Amino acid sequence: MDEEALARLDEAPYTALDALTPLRGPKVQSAFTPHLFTCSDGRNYWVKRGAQQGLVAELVSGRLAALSSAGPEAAIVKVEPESLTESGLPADYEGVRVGILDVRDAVNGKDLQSVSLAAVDPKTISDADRARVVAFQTWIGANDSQVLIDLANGRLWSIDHGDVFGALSGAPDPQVVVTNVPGLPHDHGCNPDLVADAVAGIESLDDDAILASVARVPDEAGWQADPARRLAIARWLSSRRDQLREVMKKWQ
Amino acid sequence: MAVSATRQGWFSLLRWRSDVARDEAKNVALLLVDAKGAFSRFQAAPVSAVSSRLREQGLLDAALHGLERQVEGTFTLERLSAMYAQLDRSLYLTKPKAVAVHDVDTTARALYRALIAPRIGGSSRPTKSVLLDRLVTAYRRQGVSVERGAYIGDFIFDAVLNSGDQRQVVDVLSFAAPRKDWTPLERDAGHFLFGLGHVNLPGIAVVQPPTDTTASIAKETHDRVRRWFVESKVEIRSPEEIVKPQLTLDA
Repeated sequence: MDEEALARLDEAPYTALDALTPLRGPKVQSAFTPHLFTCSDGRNYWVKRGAQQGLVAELVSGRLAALSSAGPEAAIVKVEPESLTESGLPADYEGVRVGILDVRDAVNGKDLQSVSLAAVDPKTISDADRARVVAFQTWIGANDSQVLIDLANGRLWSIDHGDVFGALSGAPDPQVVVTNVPGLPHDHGCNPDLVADAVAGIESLDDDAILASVARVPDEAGWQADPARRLAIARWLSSRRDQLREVMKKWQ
Repeated sequence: MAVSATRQGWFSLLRWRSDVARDEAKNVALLLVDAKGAFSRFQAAPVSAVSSRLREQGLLDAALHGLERQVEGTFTLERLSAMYAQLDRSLYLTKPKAVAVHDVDTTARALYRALIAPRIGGSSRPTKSVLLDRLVTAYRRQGVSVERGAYIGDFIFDAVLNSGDQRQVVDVLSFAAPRKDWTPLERDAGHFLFGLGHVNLPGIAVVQPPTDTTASIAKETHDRVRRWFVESKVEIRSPEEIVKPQLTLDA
């Protein structure tokens, strides 16, 4: 895992979807709130125009979340001005952005209380998914961690990873991250077999896979994606992956 | 300086709400146009995915087919906007919305997939409605004018074919889609034969035979209905006989 290996991977140009048209977004716009777009692959993505730690954080985390079955796919999305015409969206959506695949029928865990659903029934939420999300969010050091819940089938997904990779050197050891979901016990999914499976899924991502996840990324304004930083992210992830099995034993 | 190949397009979704008051609408078709009419595309969901009721399917099919023919010609944003303003009952359009168009067909396919296509790819079971979708499409490709779920006098037929001065009525039966009760197919065939005797037109029965895994009662019903058709001198054809010739031409 070095500069040359990353440069070799970067020789191939990145691939981007085209944003076709905006569908809907939050009632209140902020710099980091995503907007839903239909894209050229016929799927809908929540497109972000910025992230606390750069769009590279959102893209790399999204790629890894999909690879470890802990979150929806992430893609590079090109937003042309023609897709913004008469949309009322700020012009700074235009450019090369990150999109997170929309999960149908899902709600954000933090929205449950606002719709007066004070608590979910733990029996209806996948404990294997919970274990995968906890392991994943612990691995990437998720700050402001959030989850999506599909109330129809109990699937759980990790989302909103724009605030990771802030401190890549001298960082403390990983801490278990358990995102609160109203009604879901802290230890839901904390079963040795499920945790072992979740950790094994992340451990199966070797250094080549991690390096590939930080490669072929746009290096434009707002991305914070210069090669040195991306390599540092890959090394940081590799190190934390090797600590994960021990760290997850602290989840009780 | 590189010039973007992206063009400005506009699209509306055609929506169907059988009860206007409840406003529970389904997206049934996409209309994609250029402002000045340089390109236009129309892509509709299978009628069987929108409604299971034959009469409603007929009305919807007629509307979709008429709209498709209009959009196939030169169709501008002005016309789309006028149609948006006009339609406000069971069929209506969403307000034309901007879309970035890199390739017209790719964009139409992507919008269709994201916003209209049945969520699980539509039914793969050869139900009567699904067979009707295929037959209507195949007949139209062969240049035959088709009315789906249409009345002649007091009798509704699955399809009425008009080719030149010839008119035929069609009954579609599927014994290959799972169901618990097969007697409705006997009533369907009986109604067709009774109607046929009153409208004085030639009839075709398009029959999807049972599969190896279909319940034995379905096979009995199938054999019984076939006997009725044979005795009544109604031509019996399989769906493949009607759909296949066109597929061969397309290949």
